[in-house]
Amino acid sequence: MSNHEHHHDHHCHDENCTCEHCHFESHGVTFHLSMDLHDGAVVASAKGHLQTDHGLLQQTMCLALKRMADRITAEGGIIGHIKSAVEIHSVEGYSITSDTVTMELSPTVQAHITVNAIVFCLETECLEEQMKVCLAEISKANQ
Amino acid sequence: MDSVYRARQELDPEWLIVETTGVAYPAAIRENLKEALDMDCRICILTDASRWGRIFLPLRPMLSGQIEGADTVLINKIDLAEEDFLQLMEKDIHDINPSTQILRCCATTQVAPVIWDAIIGEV
Repeated sequence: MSNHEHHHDHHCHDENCTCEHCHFESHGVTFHLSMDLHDGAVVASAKGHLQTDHGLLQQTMCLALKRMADRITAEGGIIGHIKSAVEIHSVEGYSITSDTVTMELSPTVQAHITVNAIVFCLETECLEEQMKVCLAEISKANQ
Repeated sequence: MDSVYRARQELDPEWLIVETTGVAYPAAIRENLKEALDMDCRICILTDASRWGRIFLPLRPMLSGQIEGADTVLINKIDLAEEDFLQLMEKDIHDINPSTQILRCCATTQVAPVIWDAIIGEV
């Protein structure tokens, strides 16, 4: 049996890991998702990249994180924290050939998203499922 | 340890503030910093009055382990709790660590200078 045919941690599931268990595909976005246990807490970490409207992404992030927090609480989990960082990259173009500068703004931005959650009193599988739902909501709204 | 070492080497700060994760045991970090880098630390634990009632029993072993080594414990979000509850919370904390200094604060108002002084050990 290879290491990738079951879910035991026989190898390092870091960002470069390519096994199926470490990746979650949703609406055209590939998220790297890792789960860990730390002193009674379940720790989830996800990273992904998508291209979207900045304002829409901001709304989606707030909504998706709030909904995940509500679901975790409803499942009986205690949230240590759920934190997300979004690194935005956008391009603006400026050009002039005579006496007027033309400005071109990209309608979309490149967003590198990380979502980290530390949760107590919840099974690893349950937090993993809640993370996937959250990531799917983000990717679906911004596809 | 590596980050702290590099910060000291490259920036030589008077103070270095390390914000740990919520599952860290600061006293263990203090020991490591002392042994590895001969650095002294003060530990300030931030607690949440609005959630204490829900988390104290199920997370007691971890919370106790975090509070045991604390020089100061801040009770934050006091605007969201009743006075009776805050006193009960202070007792819970004192039962774990009788020598720690407990201070109340609220991030929606300005933090009093005396609290900053206590955190850095000047009160």
